[in-house]
Amino acid sequence: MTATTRTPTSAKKTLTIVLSDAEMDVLENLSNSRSLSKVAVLRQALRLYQTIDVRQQRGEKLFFENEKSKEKAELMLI
Amino acid sequence: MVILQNLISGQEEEAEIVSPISEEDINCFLSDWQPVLKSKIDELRISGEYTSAGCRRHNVEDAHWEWPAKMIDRAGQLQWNSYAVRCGGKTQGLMFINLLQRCRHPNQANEHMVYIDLVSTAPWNRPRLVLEPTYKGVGLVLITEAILQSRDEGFGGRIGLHALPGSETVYRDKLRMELLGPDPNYQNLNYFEMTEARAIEFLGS
Repeated sequence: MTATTRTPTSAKKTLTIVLSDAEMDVLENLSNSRSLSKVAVLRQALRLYQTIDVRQQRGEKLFFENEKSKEKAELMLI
Repeated sequence: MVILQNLISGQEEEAEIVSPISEEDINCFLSDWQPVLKSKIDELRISGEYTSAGCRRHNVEDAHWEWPAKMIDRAGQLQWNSYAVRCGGKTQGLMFINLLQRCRHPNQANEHMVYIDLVSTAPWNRPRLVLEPTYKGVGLVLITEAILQSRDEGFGGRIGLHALPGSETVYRDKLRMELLGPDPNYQNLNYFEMTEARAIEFLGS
């Protein structure tokens, strides 16, 4: 098997967004701490947001569990 | 575009990697893959060999995977990407990856990675299922695509997967992925991860 060429699988579109200083700070912090570009952070956020939305629409709930205490808390999405 | 070796003709053939999997691939699965897999499963049932060991021996451990249903269920969901390898007018391999899972290996815990959820090669390419497999390396083409996708996403080429027992040697010995042991939350299948360093080495080789 020899890889020769690799072409993009889907067309990309450009979006210009305006963020507040606080929002940009969060984006930069996440970008640094996750070692991802800002675009990659936003892509991951969109994937996660959609995943939560789809599962909520299917009637599922979102819980956070404390690993040590095993205490569970539901994240209420309205 | 990639090159696959046709083991029967001895020729190298151009193959195409497409994403996402399309109706053409699902139709090929339904008309060409599934009857062969179903026939082997029926044969194993009749002979009393329909066990995990029997399925492993005959290379049909994934025969129960419902690719068409998964395609419908996951369509349009950004956390999933799917790929098909096409060659010789047929779909030779299929793969689903997930882009939201994080690493478990202590050296890269919680880092982003590409998780390989499902990867299969067409029945006629499988040793132990057919006497003379047609194309060699279809699975490797797809795994390589997952590593490249991980790199493109900014995940450093890191990948992870749960291996069916019959495929473990490929991930451990050929791809030299790290074995993290059986996962009690995933049918006790062994979980493997490729580190960033290994991904760089693999892509450079």
